[in-house]
Amino acid sequence: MCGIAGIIGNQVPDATERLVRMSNALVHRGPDDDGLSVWPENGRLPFAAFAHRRLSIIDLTKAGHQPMETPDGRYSIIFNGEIYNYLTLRRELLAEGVELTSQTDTEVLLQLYARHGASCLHLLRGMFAFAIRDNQTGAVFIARDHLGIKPLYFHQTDGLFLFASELRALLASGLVPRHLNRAGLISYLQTGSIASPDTIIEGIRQLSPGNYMTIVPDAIGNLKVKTISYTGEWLSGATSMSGLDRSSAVEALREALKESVRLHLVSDVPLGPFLSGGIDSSAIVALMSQVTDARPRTFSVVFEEEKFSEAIHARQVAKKFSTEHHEIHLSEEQLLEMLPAAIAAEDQPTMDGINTFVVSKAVREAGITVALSGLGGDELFAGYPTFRRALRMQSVARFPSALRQGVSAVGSRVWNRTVQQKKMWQLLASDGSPAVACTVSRQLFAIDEIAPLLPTNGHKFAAADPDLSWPDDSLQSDDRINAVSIFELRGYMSNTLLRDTDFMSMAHSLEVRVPFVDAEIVRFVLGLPGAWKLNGDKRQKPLLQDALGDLLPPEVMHRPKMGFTLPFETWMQSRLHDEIEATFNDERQFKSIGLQPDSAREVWRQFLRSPGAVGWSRPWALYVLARWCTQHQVTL
Amino acid sequence: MTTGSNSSDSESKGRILLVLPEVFNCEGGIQMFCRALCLASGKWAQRNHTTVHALVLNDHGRPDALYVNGGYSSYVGANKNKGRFIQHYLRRTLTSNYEWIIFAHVSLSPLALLTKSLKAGIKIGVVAHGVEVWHPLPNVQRRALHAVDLILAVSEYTKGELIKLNAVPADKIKIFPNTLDPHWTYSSSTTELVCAPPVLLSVSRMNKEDRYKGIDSVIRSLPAVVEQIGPIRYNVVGQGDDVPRLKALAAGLGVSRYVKFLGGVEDGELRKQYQHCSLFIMPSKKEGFGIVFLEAMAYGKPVIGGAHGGTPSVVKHGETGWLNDNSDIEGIANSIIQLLGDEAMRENFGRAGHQRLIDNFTFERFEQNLKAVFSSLN
Repeated sequence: MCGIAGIIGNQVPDATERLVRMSNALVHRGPDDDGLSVWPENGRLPFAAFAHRRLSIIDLTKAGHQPMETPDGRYSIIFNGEIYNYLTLRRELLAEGVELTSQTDTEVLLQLYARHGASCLHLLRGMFAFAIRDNQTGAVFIARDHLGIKPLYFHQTDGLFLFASELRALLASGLVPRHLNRAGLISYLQTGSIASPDTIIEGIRQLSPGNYMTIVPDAIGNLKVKTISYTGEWLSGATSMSGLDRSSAVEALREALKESVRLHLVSDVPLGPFLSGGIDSSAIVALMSQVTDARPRTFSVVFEEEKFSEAIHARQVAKKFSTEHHEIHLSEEQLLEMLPAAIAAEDQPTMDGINTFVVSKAVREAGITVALSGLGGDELFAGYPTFRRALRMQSVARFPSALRQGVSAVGSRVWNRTVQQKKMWQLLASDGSPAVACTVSRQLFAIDEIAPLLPTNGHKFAAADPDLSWPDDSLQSDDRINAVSIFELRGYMSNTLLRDTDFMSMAHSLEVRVPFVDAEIVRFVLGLPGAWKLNGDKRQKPLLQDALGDLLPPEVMHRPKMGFTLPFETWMQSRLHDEIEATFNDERQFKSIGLQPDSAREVWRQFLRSPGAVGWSRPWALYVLARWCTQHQVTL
Repeated sequence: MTTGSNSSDSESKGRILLVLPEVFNCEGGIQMFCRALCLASGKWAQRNHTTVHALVLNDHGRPDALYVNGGYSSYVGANKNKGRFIQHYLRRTLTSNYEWIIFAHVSLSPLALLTKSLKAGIKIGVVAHGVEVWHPLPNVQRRALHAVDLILAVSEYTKGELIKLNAVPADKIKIFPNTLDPHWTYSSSTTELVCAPPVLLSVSRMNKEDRYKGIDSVIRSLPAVVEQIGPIRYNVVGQGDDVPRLKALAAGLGVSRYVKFLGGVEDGELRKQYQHCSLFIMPSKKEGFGIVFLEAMAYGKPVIGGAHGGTPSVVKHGETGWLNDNSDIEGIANSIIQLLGDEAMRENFGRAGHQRLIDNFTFERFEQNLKAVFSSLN
């Protein structure tokens, strides 16, 4: 886990100094080592430079220094992430006669690319964003993992290509104007985060999950940039599950989960799981007990306000598996003290992620460098309410659309007080597709609510069109549960959960690993019929429960889903009220980012009038956006 | 009812009756044993100027002439018709003066009980293969085992279970190992022990009821194996309704690309598979004997088997291969890793296994054992 950055292109004044500034902006991601490689302009090969910040996890020696070159000097790599099956791949390389000088996954990745090119991506199990330069041709290859666990941002103009692990590093280069991206802004207002490939900054884009790019200089120094998805082939390579019955699938899934957790334990530094007491994090601890004799160190954050705490459940699980359990007690005072730092840690504005900041800080301070998280369990095993909603929508959609729209139009006039009610009428009027069920469920502001927030300067705006599809038609089938899974994986998980987890944990130089979001696990679970995951079963995540069998205490399996929430609704009316009020009263601040100050203030007022009906997330999202833009001097 | 060879004119002179469950209908250890029994007794009959009759419950169609010794043996298949099978049996035993009747499966032994009560002078033997006698038997079968003169157990383990669970007196049980198919030709000199990548081979039925064979244990061990050894190839010959589960297991563990399910293959292809593997593996939990091990040993291959049932009678732990607990995934992985990492060990085990086959399990040895049985019954 590290930070990477690079510059390609001629005619960049002070290019190396700029890259150093970018690298310095990533220091929190890799405090253990840093490295820089510069290739001056050479004939038809343009200037290029790579920078790396290292958080040492595997092979802590200098042998893991990056940028790393092949012994013949042909290829150079900078790599952020972990390749969990690197030991196997390493053996494969050795069997092919490749000489390896370190124990690092970086060297394995570099040599795999040198031998197989882009198709090496199909061999990888892990989280990664990396860049490899072919020093002979000047071509650069950049790739991001299948599901977007690790980030990669880039900025491209004629003859210039910049990339980095964080958007703020690109801003630090001084080469990207600090202008708000209108499409990114709308995406943020719609969902509370920015959907890939957009970002909040004009001119900065993300490489979408499961994609790679090639940047190839032509004869006159221009850069030809291509983006290619590799997940279609990855998914089509999935074993046919025909003839498989559910109980065999459950057995295979259990083995698959054990294997994923086993692979995620590869580390030369202290490692321990987050343990919230929910089924996903408990599952990780239970699976660990199956694959290692080592006593895990588990961590729970305990809030003094009992109703926000899942401490009892976490304790039960810790006791069952005899973990060395650490409870980190936090008072309201301590949480509020952390808030400014947490918001400052956001690489892009987000309405979420504060929890991860708090927990990561505590775990890192307890001496842990790598944490395991149950993230992804809800997406894969139909844990979100969206899944049941999408099934219900199937029945509703049987009624004629004119009837549904009529009822929705009338109903929304007479009974439309809360956000939930509004969403219900929206869903009723829609075509009932899984896409709509997901979009409306995850919606922060509806399109008709966004309009008043934007200045009426004549031009219309279009709803953001995020890249949620999976480039494999076989998965866009009639299977509604799997369709929702894909939307949640590509949408909320990739754009919100993984982004927040990455920068909030990296703010404390903590690596977070997510064994459920493993390429093989996702491919396997998406290959199973959706009906096995939910239909006719009232339990939470029945497929996961069945796979875990009797590993977990029944209390953990059967208790209702809680989530890990902080008391923002209360705080915003009390301790945080004045600070937020002042922000909403600062008209210039909202104007500078293209929002109508009055409309923004009205969102805040509505919340104060009826907090429960409006929800805290809307005013909070606007507040965070304003603060973030101010902090990073970003204007429209 | 199908017949083969000259059955009618020799009935009165017949001295041996083989009562068999199945011979040519499908492949399996018991069928293999029955084929060997047919041929060995036919050859014995020829030498002793007499005839042997085979009565087979499940078979239909003509017998394979390779296993029925021309003028000295006859073969009758009842095509799964139990009524006709019993009728035929009674007619034969009541009208002929058999000296010996061999029942090749305990499920047929109630007929032995009946025969003993009608004609006490006939000597009767029952073959006990494996799992079918590893539990307390129904009363009538148990009484039959006590009434007969001899029980031929294919392995020490089966003998032990008969004594333990069915109180059969030890002196009534004779170890009578299975054998390689007499027509299984091979040349161990053409075998390859160095394959790149290394190749593991299993040959097994894979129906849900065959889960004890341990193919899933091998798949479970593969992540650790490839982590240590690098890429390997695991070829699985055979078919069954459990294959989807095994494929899912391989997919979930991320080892699909190393595992190839070849389905059922022709004999020639099967020989090639044996010839081109680095080792043979089947960590079965309840194998009565395990003829596939003999086939692998014929090609001079080291083997990994289950430390259960009859396998230890065939595979000598530390001499011709490794025996692992069927559920000990780490142990199985270590056995594979150790063997794949040590060419000399593979060669030594393979050579020792081949010698063990020659010393104990050839068809000639099977014939000698049969001769001893018939002599002992005289």
